Amino acid sequence: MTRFMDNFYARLGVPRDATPEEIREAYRESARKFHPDTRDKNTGTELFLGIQQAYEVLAQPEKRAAYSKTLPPETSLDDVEVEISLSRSRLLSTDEPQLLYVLMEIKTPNGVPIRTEPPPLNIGLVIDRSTSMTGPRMDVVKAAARQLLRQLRPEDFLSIVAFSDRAEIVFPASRGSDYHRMDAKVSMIRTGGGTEMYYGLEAGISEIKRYMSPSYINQVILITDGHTYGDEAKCLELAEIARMDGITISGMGIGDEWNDVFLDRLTAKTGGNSVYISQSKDIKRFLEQKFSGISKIYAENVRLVYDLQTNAALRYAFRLKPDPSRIDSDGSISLGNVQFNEEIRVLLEILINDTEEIQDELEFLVGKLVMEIPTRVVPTVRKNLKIKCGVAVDVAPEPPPSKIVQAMSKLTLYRMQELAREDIEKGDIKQATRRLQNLATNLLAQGQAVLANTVLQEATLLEKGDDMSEEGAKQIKYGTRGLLLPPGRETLSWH
Amino acid sequence: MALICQNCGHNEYVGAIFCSECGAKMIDDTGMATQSFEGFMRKNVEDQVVFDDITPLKEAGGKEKSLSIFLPDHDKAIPLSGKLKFTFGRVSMGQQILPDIDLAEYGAFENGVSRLHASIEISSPVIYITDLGSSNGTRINGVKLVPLRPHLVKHGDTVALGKLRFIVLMQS
Repeated sequence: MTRFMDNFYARLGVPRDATPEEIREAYRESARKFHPDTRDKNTGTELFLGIQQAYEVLAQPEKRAAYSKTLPPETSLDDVEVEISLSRSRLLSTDEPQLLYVLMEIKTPNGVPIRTEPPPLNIGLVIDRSTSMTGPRMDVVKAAARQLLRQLRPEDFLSIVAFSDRAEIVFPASRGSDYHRMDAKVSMIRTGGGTEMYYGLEAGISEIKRYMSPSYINQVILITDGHTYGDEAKCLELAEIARMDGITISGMGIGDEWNDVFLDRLTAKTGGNSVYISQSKDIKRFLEQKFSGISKIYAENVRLVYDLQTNAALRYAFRLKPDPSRIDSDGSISLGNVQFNEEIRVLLEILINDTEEIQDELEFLVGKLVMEIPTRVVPTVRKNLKIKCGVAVDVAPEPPPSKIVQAMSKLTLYRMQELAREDIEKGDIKQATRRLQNLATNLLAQGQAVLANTVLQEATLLEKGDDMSEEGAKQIKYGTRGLLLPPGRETLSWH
Repeated sequence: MALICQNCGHNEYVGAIFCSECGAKMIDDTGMATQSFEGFMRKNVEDQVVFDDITPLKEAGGKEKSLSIFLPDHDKAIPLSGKLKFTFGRVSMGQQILPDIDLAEYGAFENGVSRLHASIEISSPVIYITDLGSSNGTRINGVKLVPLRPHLVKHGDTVALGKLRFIVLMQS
């Protein structure tokens, strides 16, 4: 905690040149997050008082100026590198709507040494122990959890929650000192009962909150094989709160019966993603992958807070890297984590209306990137962002940057299956069938014969008046999403 | 004013890159052709790169063989896994079929790598490389391959796509 308590600015997580509004906003945010009622009694009170004290000084201009003079000069370090590419340099001046694609890349800046020791982890494993998990699924989950225990370092926190129609804390958030006791507790998890995710998530999140700090990596990993019953809306609300607290939720769905649309929405809200595990034996590999990703985090909980011009609207947002996932947006998008070895890559599709009145240039997006860099003295980092594009009456056709075209060539396929499923929801089976057939054709052209075949099978089912199979729908979704991963990282194992 | 897809007739907004209906590309972006080198410098690609710490390839039989390529000029290894066949090339605009491994960022264009240059196929226990009719050819340890015919590669072999070199690394 000493690093965090360096100075008053650090306590609130604002830069030295923060505006009074930013200070007020940061104070409200931290006060809510670190209020003693919501946290572990001892550390909570101390933290909260520290924040209180900092705000009292920084909120008053004279006191703030006097205090700032006593501080040593700030060492300026580039926090993150942001690269923006647009699908074209100029918009057409027209009263008709038009599309613009924005590719945003957020990287660890050059010159930041790759850390050998990751920041302390604060991980909550939330395990579905409903009846359907009985057998190899639970055995593998347990084995994987026990292996993770062994990898914990003395400074890491881990909690495990098991849930069915209620939640039980297998062991509360604690440092990995008492390995044998934890191991024994894990092996005692019994299966039985239904699936009510809310209780599990709630318990998992409150365990993480006990020791939460911006200097830690705070994540919930949810493992489930079923639909949750009747509490989806409550779960989504909970995810919203987790997001505001800076906790990421990642989901692993085992088998074919879980609700991928729901799990995707839930995790995307917090900047996490969901993965599809078709075979029990893959659970371990996925958990390991997840952990190795987590321990390479440079900046966590990156979110884009933005305002769009009145004539611009965000139609679609998708994270291409590191964990491909569609992302929700409502003035703020959770983008996930920047890893040392892998940048965040996000593609935004923006619809721009009526540009006739605009001279030369349209600044369509103004906002900031906010994130926590756990290794920093001041972990919360804000970076302002403005994106603009030229406007001209006569626009010569220009090819978009190849990285946008390449990303779109794969994303279009993912989008096609998404639209097909929306058609099915709407009852337009004919349209859905046609989309799937088009998708299969495109997959074949890209050399994805196995996936194309699965798509065709599902299209045939639809044509015959049947529903898509749950397994097929998931294979198509996660298969097309997997095309966005770099070679060698495809997540699906075909059987 | 709307854009009409040449393939299916679907209407898209101006600025669309792919048709949301049929997935066809909406933009006309005939890419750069691969440049051919006059008096191609064979010498550059014949030098074999010698490594001290190449882990010896275990004999065939081991199932989990991992394959990667190492680009000595960039000091970068690219693992190849999850599939049995990988195509190599460079991504440029106007391309229908994209290579699995895009070498564009390693100076593929400058080194005369074609858009679809070669493929590597794992056919356990051996690995084949096939030149896909590239402009500047593919060489294994300096020896030029007959196009469209699979050739065996071994652990530690230096492969050159045009002038871009990499070393094949296999581990059991």
